[in-house]
Amino acid sequence: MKPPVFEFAAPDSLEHCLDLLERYGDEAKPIAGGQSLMPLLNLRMAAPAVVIDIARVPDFHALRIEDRTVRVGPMVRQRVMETNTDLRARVPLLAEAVGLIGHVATRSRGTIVGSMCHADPAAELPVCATLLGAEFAVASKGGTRTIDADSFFLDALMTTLEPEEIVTGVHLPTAMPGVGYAFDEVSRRRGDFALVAVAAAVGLSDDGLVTSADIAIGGASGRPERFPLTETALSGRRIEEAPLREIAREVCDRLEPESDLHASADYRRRISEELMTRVLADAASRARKDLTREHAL
Amino acid sequence: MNTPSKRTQISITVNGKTYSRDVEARRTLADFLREDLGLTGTHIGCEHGACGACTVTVDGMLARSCLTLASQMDGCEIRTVEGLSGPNGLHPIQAAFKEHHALQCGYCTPGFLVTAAAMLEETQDPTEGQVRDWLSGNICRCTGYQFIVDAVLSAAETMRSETEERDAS
Ligand code: FES
Ligand code: FES
Repeated sequence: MKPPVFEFAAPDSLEHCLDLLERYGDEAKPIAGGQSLMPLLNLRMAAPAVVIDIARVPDFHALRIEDRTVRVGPMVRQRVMETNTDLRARVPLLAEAVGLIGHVATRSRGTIVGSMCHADPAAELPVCATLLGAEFAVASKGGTRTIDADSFFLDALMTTLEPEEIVTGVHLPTAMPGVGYAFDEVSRRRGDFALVAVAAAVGLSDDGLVTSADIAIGGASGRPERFPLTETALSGRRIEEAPLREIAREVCDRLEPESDLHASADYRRRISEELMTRVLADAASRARKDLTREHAL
Repeated sequence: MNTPSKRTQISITVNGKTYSRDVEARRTLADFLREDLGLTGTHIGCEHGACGACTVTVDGMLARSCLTLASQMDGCEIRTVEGLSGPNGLHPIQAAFKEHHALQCGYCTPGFLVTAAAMLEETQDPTEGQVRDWLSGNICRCTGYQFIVDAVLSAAETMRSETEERDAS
C-alpha cells in the first residue's frame, strides 16, 4: 500500500529537530534511513501526523572512532560497518552481525541507531548493544541524558525514549585485549529477522583460562536479554574443558520464548542452546588468537 | 524545511537529468519515478521492502525506492534501470541477462540489474557466493535464480576483460 497522509519536515539543526519533537510529541516520528518506519507506514501500521527527516542535521552523520569508544551518530548507515575497516576492527561484534541484517540495499539506507531505536526483539543490533553495554546519548528541549542499553530496551518495539526525545548517538565500547566476540543466529531465509540471535564475549587469561564470559540473546523474549556467565563453571577453565552445553542449557531453562508462525517456543529454546554453545566457543578461540597476536608483537 | 507541510519542493537528479517538482510528502520514490517522471522501468512488487523489484541507487548506494520518500531525496542523485544502457546499447549485465535467459516474465529484472550493476562497481571479480549474497534481497518467481547468477558472473568476466583491454590500449 501507500503511506497514509502526513506532514513532512526536514530540520537543518538539532535545535529545530528538538523544537518539532517538543511541539508534536507522540504525533511525530523521526525518520533516519526509514528501513523500519517505511514498511510500517506502507502497511498502515503507523500513522504519525508528522514525519521528521533527521538526515539534514549535519552532526547526526558523525562517526567518531576513539580509543575506548566508538560514537555513532543517528545517520550513520549500517553499510559503513561493512566497508570501514578501522571501525570493524574496533567493534568486531557489530562487524560480524551486520552482514546478517537484511540485504545490501536495506543496509545502505538503514542506520545503526535507527535499528536500535526500532527495538525489534529479533533484530541483530539491539542484541549487540545489550551485550556490549552500549550507552545512548539522548537529547530533548529539557536537556540531555544517557541511557544504558539495559534500561533502553523495554519490550517488543518499545524503548524508554520519551516522545519528545531523540537519540543523538550510541556509544559502543571498543574491543578489549584478550576478549573475543562472536555472533550467530538462525533465520528462515538469508536476511530475515532471526528466530534467535546470540552474541558472546569471552575473556581469557594469558594462560588461556576463562576470566569473563557474557552472553546476550535476541528473539527469545520481548527484548534482548543479557546473561553474565563469569560466575559459572566456565570460569578458570580452558574453554574446551568447560561444560558449555550444560551452561547453555541452564540459561535456556530461564528463557520464556513464545511460539509463533515461524517457530515453536521449544524449537527457539533448542536453537538458543546450540547457538550459545557455538558462540561461546568461537568467542574464546578469537580471544586466544588475540592473545597469541599480542605476544608475537 | 523546518516547518512541517503536506507537500514538499524537491530537486532530484535521475540518470543525469535534474527535475524540480512539488510532491505530496507521502510520495514514495518509486511512485515519484513511475507516476511523476514516467520512468516505469522501476517496478513495484511488494511495496514494503521484501522483493527488491523497486531497487535503484541513491548517490551510488543501493536503495529500495518503495522504502524511500521522494521528500527525503532533495538534492540526491538517482540511477534507475533506464540509466544502465549507454549510447553503445545494452549494459554488459543486460546483454548477459539476454544471453543467459536470466529473465522470464521480467517483473523482477530491473531490481536484479540495478543490484548487479552496483555490485560489479564495487567487486570486479565476485565469487558465486558473493553474487548470491548481493542478490539475496531480490525475489524472482520465475527463473529459479541459477541463470541470473550465471548471467552476473559472465557479465563480470566481460567487464573485466573490457577494462583490461582499455588499460592495455
Ligand atoms: S516493491 Fe520495493 S521491495 Fe518490493
Ligand atoms: S522473471 Fe519473473 S519474477 Fe523474475
